[in-house]
Amino acid sequence: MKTNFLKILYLTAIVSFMLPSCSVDELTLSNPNEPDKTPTLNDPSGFVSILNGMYDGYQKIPAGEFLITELRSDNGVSANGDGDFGDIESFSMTADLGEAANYWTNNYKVILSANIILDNQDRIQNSNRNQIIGEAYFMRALSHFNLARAFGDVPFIDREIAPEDFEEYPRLPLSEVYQKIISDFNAAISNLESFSEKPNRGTAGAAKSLLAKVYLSAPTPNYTQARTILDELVDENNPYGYSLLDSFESVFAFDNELNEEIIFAVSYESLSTPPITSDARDDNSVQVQGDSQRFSIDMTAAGRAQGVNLATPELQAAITAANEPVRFPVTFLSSTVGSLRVENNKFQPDADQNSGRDWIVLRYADVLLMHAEAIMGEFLETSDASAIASYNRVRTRAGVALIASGDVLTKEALLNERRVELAFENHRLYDLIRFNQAVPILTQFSNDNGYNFSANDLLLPIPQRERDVTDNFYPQNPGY
Amino acid sequence: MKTKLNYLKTYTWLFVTSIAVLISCQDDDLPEVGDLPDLTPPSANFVAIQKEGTNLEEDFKVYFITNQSVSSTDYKWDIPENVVLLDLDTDDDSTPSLTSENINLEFPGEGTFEITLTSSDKLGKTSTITKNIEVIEPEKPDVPNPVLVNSDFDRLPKLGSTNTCSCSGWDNDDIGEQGESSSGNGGSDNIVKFDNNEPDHVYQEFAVTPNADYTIEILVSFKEPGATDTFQSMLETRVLAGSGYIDGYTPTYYATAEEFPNSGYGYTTIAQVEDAANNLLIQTQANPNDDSYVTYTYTFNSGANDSVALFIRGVGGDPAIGSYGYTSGDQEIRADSVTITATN
Repeated sequence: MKTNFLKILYLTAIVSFMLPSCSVDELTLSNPNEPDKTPTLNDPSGFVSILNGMYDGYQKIPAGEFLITELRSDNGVSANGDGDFGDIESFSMTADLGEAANYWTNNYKVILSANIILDNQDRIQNSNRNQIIGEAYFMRALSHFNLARAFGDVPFIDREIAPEDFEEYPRLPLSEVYQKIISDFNAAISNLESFSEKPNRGTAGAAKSLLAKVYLSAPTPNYTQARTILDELVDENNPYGYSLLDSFESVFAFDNELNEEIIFAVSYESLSTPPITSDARDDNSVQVQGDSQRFSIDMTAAGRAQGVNLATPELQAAITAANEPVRFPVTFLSSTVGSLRVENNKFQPDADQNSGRDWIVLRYADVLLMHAEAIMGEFLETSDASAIASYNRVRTRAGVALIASGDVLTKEALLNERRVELAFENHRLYDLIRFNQAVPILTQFSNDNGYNFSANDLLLPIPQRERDVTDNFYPQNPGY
Repeated sequence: MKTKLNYLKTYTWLFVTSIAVLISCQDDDLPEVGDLPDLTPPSANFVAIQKEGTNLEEDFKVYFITNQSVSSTDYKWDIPENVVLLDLDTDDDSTPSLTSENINLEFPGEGTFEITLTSSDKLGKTSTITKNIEVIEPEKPDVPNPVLVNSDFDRLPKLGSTNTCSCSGWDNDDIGEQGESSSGNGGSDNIVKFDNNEPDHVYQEFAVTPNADYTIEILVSFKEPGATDTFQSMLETRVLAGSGYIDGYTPTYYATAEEFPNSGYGYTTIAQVEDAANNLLIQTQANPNDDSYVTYTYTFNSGANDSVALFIRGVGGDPAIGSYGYTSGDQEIRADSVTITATN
């Protein structure tokens, strides 16, 4: 009995000591693992390393992007409807959606690499200094564009920041984010104009094409600026050598990657190292040059629990063997057609878990269709001959009916053409939003399938963990 | 014995503690010491998104009303009486109600409508927001003006040759003779003539927007009738529907006058021209007995057609003359220009 009393007294004393001692302590945090960048920044090969690291980081983005775009549209569905996949496809997402957090982190990591280059551009001694700067602007613009379309108002990070600096970078109104993206792409164009490079790196032509898409996607679209850019690009003798391949199939052929139709792509190599995934961490085993990817197999019955991003019945109805003789067999894997799990045929894996198939971010057919979109502007149709000519170029290759001169191209026809031409290429959701058709079409789609769509689902939730570590500094999007 | 006493002690302790816990859980309306304030009371908000669809007359009335309330679990909407709560999901058993989280509405037409949302949480706290929805029918895109080639009747190369004619671009020999070139109204080589006692005409096809209204203006001079004239010339203007073109014909819109053919296209017989079902407009202008240039104005609606033809001829003469079954009267008629504009 006596012993017990002593124990209690002892404990009470210790606790009493601890309580006041915690209230006044000020913590100073420093990261003992923070690498010293000085040697890297003093070495010309250092900037090349940072640049490569930036592209390396971007490899994670296609790894999860299809989940928050195609799966969140009326194109893609998962085999089992479990977990994040089910939440996304049925529009039942919550603030802790893992793929939203991955997308946020992965894009801001690319931005970090770009900012290290841009903050230290005065130290770049390399002969292609402008190219390095231009590519950094390019990737910073592209990643912010990704974030703006996914999350709406987002922080635009224009320098290398430390965790405690977050309050300097609140969620900016979308129109301001777009202004900064436009400014970055313009800086990319002027720095890259005299360099030519494969389309798996930022180029002036890719910056122009993406800038046109930015103008079309902005909260207040600038159709005139978009058209000015696209007029140059749709010319068959455009200075960047872009062209529509004669064969639709060869655009996606594995032995024909980075062809003249590709404007920007993310390259992968079929290596036996662990494949890149959207949630891959920064350990050395996955962060090597020339990573393979796993999304290709995830989209098949051999991956992610029998496949994700399979074709919805609605997409299959839009692209049939009868009305799309050319695009049907390239879009859907023939051996799965007619089954319950129709797979895409554009990004089939070449090496199972370690696919080296590139991800196409933007290709020339999109530029042609954007040209028609820019000319149509805010109207529901156009009879403009050059708009119809650009649209018809895409239709001609597909072997489908053209619009005769004197007839009109409607916004509805253009939206459908984009869906058929660009199926599985992560464009559908943002096309619906740009064309002001997301709410009516996805409401209908949701009702037909027993899902829970509302207009709030057009923006992803700000990742809960970002709000937790910032004491809810970023306001959450409505509906989450 | 000592062990039993220990058990009793323990049970008594437990009993007393349980009673204390139970009592402390009793419902109390007023905050007491230790109660936490509701730091996250509901905050009501919503957005209204107008449907932009292909059915221009109807779609603008449909709105998707999306709840954006924070810290709320229950909702109550107040809508005006003449606003209809839509059930867009007709497959399922449930019907939307004014307590659904999101609702879809159809407004009766243009106007301002007050929509109120009261959102509440499970503690019974509520928040209310009222918004005025201004329903505006979107403006229809402007119908473009039709493109006519050589609408000034200038003397231009014809049929790809070096021959020139004011009728270049305007000749369809299957349904009339070509109008010849002349000068007048202060210009030179700028007039097309419908000669006296000849079956002269002009004919040209052009693209139109279906169901749109158009205005035709023709600048014309009639020669004054002579004392011995028998037949009074009249100028007949017709708009012929594309639906009346010969079977299998798809109109071609040429950029320049010399590219136009002069037979075997569009309308190939006068019977076709005079079939009432093919005419969107028939206007006949009598001689005003004054040879100054006057603008005659007509209007037509394109109906279901995306292509029509303008056909103008001189009539009033002896139908036995010539091979077309019509001629102009005894006075020459001159046309300086024709313009067609869309009525927006």
